[in-house]
Amino acid sequence: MEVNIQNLIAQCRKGQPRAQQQLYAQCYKPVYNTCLRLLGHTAEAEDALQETFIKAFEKMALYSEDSNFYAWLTRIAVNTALDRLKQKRMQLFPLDENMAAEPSTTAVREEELRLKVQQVKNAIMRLSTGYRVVLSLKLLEGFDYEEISEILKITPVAVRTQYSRGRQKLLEMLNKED
Amino acid sequence: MLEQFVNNHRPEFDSEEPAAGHVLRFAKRMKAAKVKHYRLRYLSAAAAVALLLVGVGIFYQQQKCPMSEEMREVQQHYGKLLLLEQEKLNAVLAKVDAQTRKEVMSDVRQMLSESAISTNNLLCYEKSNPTVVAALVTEYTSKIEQLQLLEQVLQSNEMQQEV
Repeated sequence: MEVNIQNLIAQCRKGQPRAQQQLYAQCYKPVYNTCLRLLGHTAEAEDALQETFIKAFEKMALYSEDSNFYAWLTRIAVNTALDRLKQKRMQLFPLDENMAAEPSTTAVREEELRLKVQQVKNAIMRLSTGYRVVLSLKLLEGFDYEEISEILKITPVAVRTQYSRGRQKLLEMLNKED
Repeated sequence: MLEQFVNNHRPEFDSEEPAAGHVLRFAKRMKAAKVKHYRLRYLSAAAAVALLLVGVGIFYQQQKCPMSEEMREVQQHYGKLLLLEQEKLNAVLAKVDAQTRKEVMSDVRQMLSESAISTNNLLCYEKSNPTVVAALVTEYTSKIEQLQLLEQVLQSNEMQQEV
């Protein structure tokens, strides 16, 4: 499949519309899901998905064949989705004061939770934007703290804190449903 | 445990689908967007020639030394043709993103110095020299041809994208 993608990429570099459509058809799903997790809205996610591919085709000459195409595409998708959140002035990070004022959370015994994919997905979507973004980037998109800190332009410590609190919130939600 | 669970079920987290008809909507948007995916090598060459022209134009205009009438006429005539082609090419290059243009142009600056006439300072002769005039004409016509070829390639790329 990777060989096929590399062929399509080569054709996309030449501006072949058919290859672009094929590449979209082959790769849209993970990109859409990334956008959906970050934006939390299906129509917005589809719009960001399309924008991601248009940007990718425009920048295809800059893509290095040595790197992972999905990772490259995901990075474009993440930036596109985050730009949209910023345009909407969505608050990505709770203020420190507010975070400090939050009631202490109940300890959740993770090993006792009977996790189900759909349940976890739904719970992630119910998190506030700030928690959802960091949790999605770390847990599902596979970025490390340093990378997230670079993407979101905040310190790695802030990323760790946000992730830890978002994770705790998620477990609490799952615990209530369990 | 949460991380482990997600890792073990990672593909299932990407199971959501966009609303039906998204492929067609994307095709429509692509057509409207007229994606600017010019081939880098053509882009590079186009920017190179555009800059070269600017460089050559500046060079010829800056010649304050005495020049033969014939040489001056050749320079003015072909200079106008070059400028016309440059304008056409610039219109195409205006669609290119700034980063790519910047990268390409840095390579091109080196090319600017590669003009036999400019490096040998052959223009500054009051008496017309047929060999130099012929060289000047060749230099200009060669650049004009390159420009025309580039325009054709870029335009055909664009037409291909619109299909």
